[in-house]
Amino acid sequence: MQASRARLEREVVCPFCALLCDDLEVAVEGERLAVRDKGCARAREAFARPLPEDRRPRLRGEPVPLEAAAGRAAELLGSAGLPLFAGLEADLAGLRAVVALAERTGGVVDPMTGEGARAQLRAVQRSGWVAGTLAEARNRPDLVLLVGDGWRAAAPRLFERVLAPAARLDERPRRLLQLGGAPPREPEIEHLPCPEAALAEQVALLRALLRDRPVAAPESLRALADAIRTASYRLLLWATESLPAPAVLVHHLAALSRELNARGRAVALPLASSPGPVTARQLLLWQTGVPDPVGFADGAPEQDPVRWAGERLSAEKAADLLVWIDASGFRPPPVVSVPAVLLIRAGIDPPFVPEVLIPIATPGLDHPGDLYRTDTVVALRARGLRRTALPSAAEVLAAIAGALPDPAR
Amino acid sequence: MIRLTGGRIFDPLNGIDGAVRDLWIADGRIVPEPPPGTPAETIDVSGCAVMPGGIDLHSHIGGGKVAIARLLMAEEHRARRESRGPGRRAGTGEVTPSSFLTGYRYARLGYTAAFEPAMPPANARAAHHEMADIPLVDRGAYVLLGNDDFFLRLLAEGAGAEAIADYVGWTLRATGALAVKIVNPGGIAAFKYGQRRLDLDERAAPYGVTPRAVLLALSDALERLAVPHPIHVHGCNLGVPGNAASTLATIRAMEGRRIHLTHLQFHAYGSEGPRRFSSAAPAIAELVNACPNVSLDVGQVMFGQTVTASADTMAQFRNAAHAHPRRWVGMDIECEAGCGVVPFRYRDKSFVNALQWAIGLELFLLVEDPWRIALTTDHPNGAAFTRYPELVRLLMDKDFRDAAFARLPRAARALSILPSIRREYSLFEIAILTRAGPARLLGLERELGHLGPGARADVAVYRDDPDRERMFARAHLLFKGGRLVVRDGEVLEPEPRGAVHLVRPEFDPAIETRIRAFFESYRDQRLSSFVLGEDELAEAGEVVVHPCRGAPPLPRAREEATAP
Ligand code: SF4
Ligand SMILES: [Zn+2]
Ligand SMILES: [Zn+2]
Repeated sequence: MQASRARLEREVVCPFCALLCDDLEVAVEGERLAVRDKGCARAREAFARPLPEDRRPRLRGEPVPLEAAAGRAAELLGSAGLPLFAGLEADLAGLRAVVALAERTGGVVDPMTGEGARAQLRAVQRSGWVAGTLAEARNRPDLVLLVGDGWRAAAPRLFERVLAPAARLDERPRRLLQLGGAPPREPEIEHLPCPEAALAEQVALLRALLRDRPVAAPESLRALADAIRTASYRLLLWATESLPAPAVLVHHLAALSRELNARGRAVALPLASSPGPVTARQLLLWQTGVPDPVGFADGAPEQDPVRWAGERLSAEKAADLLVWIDASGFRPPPVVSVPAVLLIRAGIDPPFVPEVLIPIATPGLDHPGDLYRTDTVVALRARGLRRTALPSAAEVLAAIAGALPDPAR
Repeated sequence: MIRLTGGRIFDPLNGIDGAVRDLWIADGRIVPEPPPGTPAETIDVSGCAVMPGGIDLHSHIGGGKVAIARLLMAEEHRARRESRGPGRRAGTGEVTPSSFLTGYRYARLGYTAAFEPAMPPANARAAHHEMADIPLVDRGAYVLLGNDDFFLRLLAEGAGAEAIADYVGWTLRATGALAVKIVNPGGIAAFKYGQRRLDLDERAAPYGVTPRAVLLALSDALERLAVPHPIHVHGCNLGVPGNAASTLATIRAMEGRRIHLTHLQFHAYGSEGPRRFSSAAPAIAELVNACPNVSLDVGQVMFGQTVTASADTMAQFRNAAHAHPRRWVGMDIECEAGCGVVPFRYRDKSFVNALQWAIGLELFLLVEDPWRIALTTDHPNGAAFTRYPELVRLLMDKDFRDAAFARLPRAARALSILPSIRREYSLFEIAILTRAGPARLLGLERELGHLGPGARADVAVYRDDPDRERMFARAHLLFKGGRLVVRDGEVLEPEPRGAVHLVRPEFDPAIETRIRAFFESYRDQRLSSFVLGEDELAEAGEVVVHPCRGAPPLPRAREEATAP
């Protein structure tokens, strides 16, 4: 093998969480990638994962050419009663192909990111909220309330980029408070201890205090309510997928984000863990008019968080085929007893031997791809750093669509 | 080659008013009549009106706020679901239809272009993604400026007209936009600091600039850049009783500069009468008639359930109290803009809503020059665009209009002069309001909005019908780029993707150094990931770059129009 010289790529977009940092410096040497500057630990690990020698698709563990794997996947899709398209860790092009395929095969589209994401959607759909984007969250607030400590895992560089940035447009001093979770290591963050099981109740109580309801509340919570009341621009921030009792919590947090605007300003910023499901939700909203989970069982899209919940469909085997897409390699597919077609980042071993396994490329590393940030407003194009022979999710799904028995457009 | 024969042609940009002529189409364009004997497929359209494809110059069809609107309108997306058909994609929704349905429904009406009027720069990539999935119509977007911290700082520190123009030019290019929209000048930024009202000469937090200064600075910048469409303005105090005073002051503030006032109906309210809410349409129309530098679209209200989606957080925060159903979303966006989404039901039994309806129609009928007024409902804010046929009938048919007026509450009727207005729009004038006028106002007339040789063959054919609502509800035939895509209101060829229209003005790129520093320090984004690449836009189909040669003149309707 010829030794190739490393080249340094600057301003690289990182696809490994929904913050989508775009300032990474990555050394590229052949197929090897190494984050040299700016990336968090998660990014360093994810960029550096080596690609395996053997990148061939597999049928029940046996290597086959891509056409054979796509053909078998098409066969399975053609005969499935209710295929479930899940995971959805892909770029916009891949996700467009997913929605088209689900529509054509009468399937269900659900990222399966859990109850938190669904609860949040429900709260917004029922009564709305006031939200903000990352740059607003970075610049405006003079008070930030972090609910739980899930933010750290969901968005590793949140502290540096949003909570305590080097520069802000608004120079009013800022208070950072974290309710519950493990004590933060940053001295700038004041910790208000609260057991996880009591978090929902405390937030409900806090809201009651802020609405001047006569409730019995501990002094610490009253002090928090006072701080929130007197601040001018409050940011409520949480990590959607790791909230305990998300239905109650998100209901109250969304309501707080509205009510606090009666005096002064307040915005909410929930953090999704990964950009694929954020991108998928936006895409579904424009292409189908409804957010996930979406079922096409009768041909027309339908949102139903109970009926089309991927967890339930796979547990009850109501879905008879799982198509799992994960181009970034962070979420293992659920172990199911129905046939599965896995499109996952090359080099990741699935937890079971599926009917069809197709290793795919990662957007931003192996090819350009569009991804949406956690605030849903900003989409970035991750540009791709190296050449591999790996197909993208979009390419594989196009091959599958092309092999479907009914060649309808 | 296709020959459309026997139809009455309504082509205002070429001065043709209902003359029976043949129309020739080849290679996607209108062509001159070929030499005799040239083989052509002849389509007989006798008894039909033939017009350029419709152009909607203000319709919220792409971007984050539409997504939020759909979220809040879950009921209608459950109630109206459409399956895929031959080559047709599925979708849902009534007033916020999903993207594929949006394209099919526009096509059904004989429309072939629609423009998203409020794209925050930060949301540009997303808006273009979404609009690329609207089939059958050409598209484009107006980028939102005037509430972004970078611009407000330039203005506050007196950076000068040149720097501001460079920044505006840079933004137009970076976001693939056709024009610049301003919403509540300075007011969205001020709302972020708790300010709840802002009039033309009040100071806006946090920089202390006035809406007047913001407006003039952006208007001058566009003139310097010679962008065809002048500043597209959603002014101060949207929806507030008595806001006509701000609107009149805004027109005067322009001192002859070109301005497009959008959804003017929402800005034409007086504060007279027993309920301190009245029509100021006559006063506004009078000033508009006297000011040839002013163009407008109406933003007509039609009764029924809809959802209002606007960048104007200040106004939408006020409107949230009237949400129906009771839910609303507000958003502060990326040191640039905001958005507020409030579902709303316009009721014909409501005094206020009835008067809003009448005010819109008064504007339509009192503004004399059809070249300066475009037909819109500010989709979906006043109503969905699918209500256009009914609106056209209201403009063309006085009896129909009077009957509708008679159903309004007495208190509203007492405050409107609508029944005294005899005007009925002609087909020629409707063709101006919905095609030729918007094409000229946007600077697209080289390509769109007419049927002369060289134009894109976007051609709508309607069966003549004295019931104008029925006539315009379903195009008999629609050609998109020379391909027959609709027959009798049914979409035949759902695939073709329209082009995206934009401008790429010249500016001094030195401004980028300052923009970069701002983005990196405050927005924590690199320009390399922000700027929409030319190749990115091209991936989604044809890109039509319109030359920047200044705003086209606005002639009154041509006298030389040929009689039928
Ligand atoms: S915080 Fe997220 S986007 Fe930023 S470098 Fe880490 S994983 Fe990548
Ligand atoms: Zn507006
Ligand atoms: Zn509008």
